[in-house]
Amino acid sequence: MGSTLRAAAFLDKGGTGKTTTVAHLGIALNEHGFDVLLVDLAGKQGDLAKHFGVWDDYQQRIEADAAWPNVSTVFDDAWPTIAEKLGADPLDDLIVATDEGVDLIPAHPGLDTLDSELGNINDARERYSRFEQFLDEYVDPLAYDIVLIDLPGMTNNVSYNGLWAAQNVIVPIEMGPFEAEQADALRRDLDKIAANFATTIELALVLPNKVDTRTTLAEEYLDAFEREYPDAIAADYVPYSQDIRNAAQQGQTAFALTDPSATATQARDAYLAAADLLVKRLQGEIHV
Amino acid sequence: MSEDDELAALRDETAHGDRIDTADATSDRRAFVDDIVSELEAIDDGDKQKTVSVWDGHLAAFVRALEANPDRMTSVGEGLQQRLDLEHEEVDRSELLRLALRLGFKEAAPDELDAVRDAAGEHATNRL
Repeated sequence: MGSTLRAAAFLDKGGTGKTTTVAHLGIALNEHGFDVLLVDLAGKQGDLAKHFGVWDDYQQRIEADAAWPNVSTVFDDAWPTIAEKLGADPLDDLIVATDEGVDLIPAHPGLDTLDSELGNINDARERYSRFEQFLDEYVDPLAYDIVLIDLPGMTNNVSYNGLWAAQNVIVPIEMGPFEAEQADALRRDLDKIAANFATTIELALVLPNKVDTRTTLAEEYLDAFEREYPDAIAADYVPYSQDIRNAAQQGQTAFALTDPSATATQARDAYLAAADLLVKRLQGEIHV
Repeated sequence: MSEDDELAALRDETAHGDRIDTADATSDRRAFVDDIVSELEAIDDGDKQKTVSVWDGHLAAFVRALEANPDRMTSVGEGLQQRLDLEHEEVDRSELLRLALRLGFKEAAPDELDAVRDAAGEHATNRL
């Protein structure tokens, strides 16, 4: 497919389903035949790894002080030296394979202090481009088709690094007034980044999430989002599904369910369609 | 340093705990810097000595013999200065011991020695 595509899930608000979206879009892309790497920068809780049932093992490595290098190490200015000394496959210890076919770089407690450490870097371009350098030099050579990054639900130095590196944002959005405001704020932030740093970050995909269509209010918000983001909005929305919540608790996505409910099936179809659209946008076939 | 030692050193430098670990380490360090600042103030006020003495016959003999052999003294002094990233300058007995102590502490207790630098900075600012 050529060079590795990238996108980051972000909205300056917690609980909008970023992690679930990244997990499911990752599997949907995998179903479409793409080789996918997921990266969890969202926080030390390791939610993305929990989604694939690999967090317990990784947490044991963390507790045994054996999870080094990890995702926070790659932001360090010593990383190139470390990578060189680690030899031919410096990412071997970082990347975890999952049963559902995607690879994952899990979160680490070091992410907790990373924001303030990045804040000590005076030059803004250097401060925000550490992760991009890592992806360019160490992940792209691994020839994944696509890298999806889960970001913190707040604007900080870590999320700016993810946005800068991906240059494409996936916005999982619930149907409510606060989310509409946050999406507007994000669009203003992206414009500001473009103006200040001469780089463009595209709103690649707006994915209505956890939609409960039994309420007319949800329908109204869906219409409003479609009008507001005609080019970035996903073709279909992801319905609220208890099945997805239950699957997540068991360490799997809705794609791994052997007997999915109607809402889980609808969600899977929506993710598959959204994944298809995302790739087309990232490949530049559709301009937002 | 072997490759493994270098990796271990890099690991120590770049292994980050979470904020709770850091908060604890930060408050401990703060208390230590405060202790050094108090000692510096006592020295400034003339309440405490600026000198450090050690009781070690072999080292005393070694240093006196170095003084009797200026070329060796210069060579040892340069070696210490090089390891401490300092300019080469002539060293006397006191300077030689000062450098040797600093290098030893830097190797064995870099964080504690860093606290001295922070304390000295704070102490200087306090006296402005």
